[in-house]
Amino acid sequence: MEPVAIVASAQTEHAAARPGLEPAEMVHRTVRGCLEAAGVAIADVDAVVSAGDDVLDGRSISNVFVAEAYGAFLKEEAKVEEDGAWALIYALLKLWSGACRTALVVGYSKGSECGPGAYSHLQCEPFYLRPLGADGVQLAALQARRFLDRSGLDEGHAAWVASKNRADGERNDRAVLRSAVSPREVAASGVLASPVRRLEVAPVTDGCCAVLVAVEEEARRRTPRPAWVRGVAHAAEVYYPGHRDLADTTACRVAARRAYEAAGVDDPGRAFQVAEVHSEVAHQELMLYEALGLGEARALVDEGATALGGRIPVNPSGGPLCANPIMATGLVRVAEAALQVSGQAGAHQVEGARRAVAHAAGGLCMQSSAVFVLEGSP
Amino acid sequence: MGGEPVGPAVLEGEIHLAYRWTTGPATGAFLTALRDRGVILGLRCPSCRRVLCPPLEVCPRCGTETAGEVECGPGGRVTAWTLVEAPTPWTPWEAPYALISVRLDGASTDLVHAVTEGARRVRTGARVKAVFRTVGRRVGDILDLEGFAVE
Repeated sequence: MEPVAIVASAQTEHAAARPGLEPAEMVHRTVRGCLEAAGVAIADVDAVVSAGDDVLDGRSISNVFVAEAYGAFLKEEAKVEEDGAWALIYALLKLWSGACRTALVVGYSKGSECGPGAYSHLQCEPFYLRPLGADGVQLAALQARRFLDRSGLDEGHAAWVASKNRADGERNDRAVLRSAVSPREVAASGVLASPVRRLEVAPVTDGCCAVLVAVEEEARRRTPRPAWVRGVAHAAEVYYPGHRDLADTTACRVAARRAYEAAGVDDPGRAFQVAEVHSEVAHQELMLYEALGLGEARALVDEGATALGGRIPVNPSGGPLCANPIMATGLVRVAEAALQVSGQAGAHQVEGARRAVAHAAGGLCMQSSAVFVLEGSP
Repeated sequence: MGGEPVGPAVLEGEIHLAYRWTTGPATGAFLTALRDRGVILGLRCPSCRRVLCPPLEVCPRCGTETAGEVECGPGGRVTAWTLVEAPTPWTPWEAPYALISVRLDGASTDLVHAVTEGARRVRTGARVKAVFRTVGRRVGDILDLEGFAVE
């Protein structure tokens, strides 16, 4: 397949609430920032793919309300009702198929408008789960219990992850939460649904991420530092949480194996200098260390290896625990990984980052996973 | 990105939608058996032989249509649990209550439901037993199974 690359990206300064910015304005500003960073006019973009959510927006076919703001007029335009990382996959397929040479990807939501609890509650089907009043956090708490029981890790490991993310997020001027918290503060932050505590859960966020991708010739013309997409794959587990083992990360493992094969990654424990993963509750990051083959979770935590400055920093941006613009959170992981391998991550840059793995999740308890391998230019 | 403009006030609104969700042959059979007989039904996948409880029309792994009703429970074993201290506005119980996944006797998968008696004693591996709504008050929804009691 022809090499394709991430040329540029832009994110909002994610915020707990942006009452002054209507979704279309928020999207437009972000897209403008992305195109300006690449020196590309919207006329040079062949296709746009967005990711938004009808429930979060309170509008059916919600893309029609923002499509014009992201420059869709008379272009190939489509929406995926998945995280923006899946919109990115759609755009990459357009590049690889030869259908277009440059594509724009947008993920956005304003979680403040109806609340992430309502959104994830409505992900529960109406027969078995929804009458229980369940939401994503409560079901993730069942997963956390199952995972801790199975792995022998304890709540201290999850608290360490939350604290680590908050410390790293302090350096990210796009994060919503920019203050370090100690594991002790995490432990004292109040149980939402045991063993999950308030500071182990991603914050309500309004935000947008835009990513410009292009085939090789276009990418080289637009930037001296393209982030090459070397491998992409995704896989989905079954929906109902009781019909799968919640501690099992097979879908992520399958996606990782396929993406690593495509990228020629034989030893994921040594192949990457940085990872960005989509964990909206702290224990999920521990699960993903192992599912992505980065190492054994207990050893990585004991060593402090996944903190900024460690052997394999995971979520040096602070990750979803510092900013969680639903529908963009996974796309942000890819954008952050691209910034890392092109040396443009700023204050949270990982020294010498050349190859990165980015992970996006979808559904209740990470039902789906997408895995991306990115490489900088030598 | 420029400064945040000072916007007008937000528009507050709500969406109320009435649905009539078709339950279909699998979920419909489950809810009917629960309402009329106080029985928890599973359906067997003819390919992998697993008993799905709660049942679906199609085995989510094999893609095969399920067939063959199996009565599961009323006892079972807790496979995961959470004591909910910050409930959503849509929860029918007072906090704290426990959400559990429970492997009912005779089932190959877990049902996600609640412990309504002895929530603070729930642990992984604990035996629990189904508590049903009183006969005559059942309506044909999952809460005809009121929850589980820790044995």
